[in-house]
Amino acid sequence: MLAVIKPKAMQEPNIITKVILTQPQSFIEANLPRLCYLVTGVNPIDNKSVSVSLVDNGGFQFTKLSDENSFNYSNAGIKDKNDFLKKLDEYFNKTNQAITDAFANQKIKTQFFPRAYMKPISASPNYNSKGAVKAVVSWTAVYKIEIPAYENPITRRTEYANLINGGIEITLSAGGKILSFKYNLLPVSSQKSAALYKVVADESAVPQLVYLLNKNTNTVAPFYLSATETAYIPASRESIPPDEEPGEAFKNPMGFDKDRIVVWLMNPDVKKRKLKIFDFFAPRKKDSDNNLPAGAKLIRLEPASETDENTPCVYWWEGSYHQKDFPERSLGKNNNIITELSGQVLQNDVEHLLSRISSYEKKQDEYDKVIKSIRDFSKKLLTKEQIDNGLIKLNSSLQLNKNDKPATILTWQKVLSDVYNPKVNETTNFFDEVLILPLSYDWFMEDKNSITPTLSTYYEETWQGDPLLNRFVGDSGEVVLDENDLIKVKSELLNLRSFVLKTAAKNSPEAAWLQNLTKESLNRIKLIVFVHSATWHYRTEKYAESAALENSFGVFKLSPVLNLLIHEFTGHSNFLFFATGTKPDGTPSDRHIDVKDTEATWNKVSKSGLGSLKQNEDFIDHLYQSHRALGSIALAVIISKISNL
Amino acid sequence: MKSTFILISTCILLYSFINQEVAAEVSGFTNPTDTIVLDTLFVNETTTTDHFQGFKIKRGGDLIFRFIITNLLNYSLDISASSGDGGLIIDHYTKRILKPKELEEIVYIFHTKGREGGFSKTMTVAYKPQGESYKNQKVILRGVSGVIE
Repeated sequence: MLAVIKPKAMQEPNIITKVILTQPQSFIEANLPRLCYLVTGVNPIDNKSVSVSLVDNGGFQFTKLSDENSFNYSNAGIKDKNDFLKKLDEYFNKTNQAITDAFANQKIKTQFFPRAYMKPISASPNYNSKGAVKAVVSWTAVYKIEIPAYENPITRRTEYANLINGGIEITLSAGGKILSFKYNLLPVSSQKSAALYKVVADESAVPQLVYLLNKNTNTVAPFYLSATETAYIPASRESIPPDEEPGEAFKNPMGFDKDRIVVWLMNPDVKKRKLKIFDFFAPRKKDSDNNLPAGAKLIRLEPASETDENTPCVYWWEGSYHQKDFPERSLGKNNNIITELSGQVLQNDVEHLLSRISSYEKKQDEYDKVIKSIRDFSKKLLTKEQIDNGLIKLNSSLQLNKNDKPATILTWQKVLSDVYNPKVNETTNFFDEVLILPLSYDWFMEDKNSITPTLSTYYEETWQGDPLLNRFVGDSGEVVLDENDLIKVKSELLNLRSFVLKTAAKNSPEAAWLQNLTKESLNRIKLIVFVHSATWHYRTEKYAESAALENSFGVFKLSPVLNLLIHEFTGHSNFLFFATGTKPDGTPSDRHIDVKDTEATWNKVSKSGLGSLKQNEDFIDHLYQSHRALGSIALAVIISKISNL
Repeated sequence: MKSTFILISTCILLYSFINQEVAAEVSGFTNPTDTIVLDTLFVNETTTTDHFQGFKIKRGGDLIFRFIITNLLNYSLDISASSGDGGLIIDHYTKRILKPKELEEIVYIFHTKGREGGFSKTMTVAYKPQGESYKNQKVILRGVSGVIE
């Protein structure tokens, strides 16, 4: 429990915090082509070689789809990391000035790159994934926004807090051309002071302060992040939370609930529910060594009765499984719990997975590299700051932008191929032959209610009516690899490439993506992936039909859509071909994990304990709602983003 | 009773086709039904693709596809069945290892809930000699298509 006391009720002098006011998202929206040109040097209007789109949280993103017309902001190549950051610094200065000049006559005061708050959390080269020689092809930097939140009354030092739902990512080619730019932020217009709410807490640790960007209120304001609650607690009068899912009332149900099997420990001290006023001057009490830290992943089993306040759970900790009762109220539904021990929680989850995938070792050279990257990472203990930075970097780099699915898919395919891209033959790797369609049912249907519904009509007549093409509707995804089916889909994609230019969707990112398809580029494709209509909207779902999606590690988790794609690649291909499975009755299966499989396994463990699974890793997969092989690829992707912070 | 009949029929067919490549043709299904029995899949160093077309399915129901796989080779095979998703998943089969001349029934289930119109799904059977590396694995695709009405 965490509550706040507003300044009027406080006896001590107020602690002053900072609130940043931003331009509205409508400013970005109204000036998108102009801002894009000023930032990237590329005019996006009628330009099919780039994709430009708004970001849901606020801001926009630019992605180059082909090699032509990229803005070369510097004539010189990038020598090393320092040189890269120096060049970016010059670029931020110039661009800020250019934007100020461009909007001078509108009397808009704006700082596009808030350099005082921007802090690089990673700057690293990207290498070519093919060829014998490992060459740097581009450089990527991610900047977090770190704000001096308040002065600590004890230490008199400034305490900083991160903006956790925003950041900036920029990728330059080795020659200095802008390849992609993600501005998940709004331009700063001014800042002001506000009183920091005092906290009433029953927590043993200092509640963490974070900042959130709210595009509806045009603010970047502070919030408390509680270890006992999943909601953000406003920390000042201006702190209005962005739209969130409502929390659920407490209950301790007896039966199977697929959304409450994997849970996370919110606070080990929750039994001692004695409210106290959080006092900056009070000595801090550390967690007992005997306690499992907040954020630890647990499998919630069936409680003894509905009135029992405790629930038996199994969990992996320090190299083995344990079973113990935990207060039901301490079992949270999401893994977004950050404490000083989050690094330890992450390390434990990584070690757990590592122990589960050991049987896959030495089956495929490329997968052995995945195991090695996980093993190397398991030896690292990340600090809380690294965890904070890692979250920002992961969200900046790999979040799903529903307004620009092509750019998102492009980014995902690149990162996946970087971590695991098995050879098909001497000259070809898996992703050379894969096409992930960024098209969606929603996109086809956008003009459904217009006076002249051209694209939606075309979809209904062409795609929906043909058994080989009708693959966009559903709750998961599917792959096409039959030769005849592939010919049909490819042919229709080329037809759509022409047709879309006659529709209202001609300037959409999807249309731009289609223009880059050619008969030649499609010739090499042997596996096409469709993502179903409902899947694009998944946020916390544990399953996409019979694909288990619960691949979380500490506070880190990929988009459900990206987790589903990893699942889809395994549909009879070179991707994790050794990863088969076993159903709860012991009969063979593939990589699917149905809700029924989890339920049968959960019932068995609830009744007879974890020993009833006889250390069968497939059954552990059912229980943890995560196929370990697919989870390992998800983890390798996460590691690739957070290991060099 | 039905399974027994299928097994006996398959054994007779097995002797008839013992030296042939994969033999699988559409047998002309026209009426909606809950279970569709596909032609036997004879494994004989092949990667041939089969297509079974023209199924009409009632919307919202579950449809079962089942077929017998037979090892025509003179060594044991390690088999694994999979699907391309989109509502089609493995329901069951019992043996991963198939000895020479041995039969096994593979059953898929297609969930049509939330789907309508044409469909085309792919079932996959991958096989390799028992004990050998996955590099020697071969894949047979079986496509089923039709309309959900």
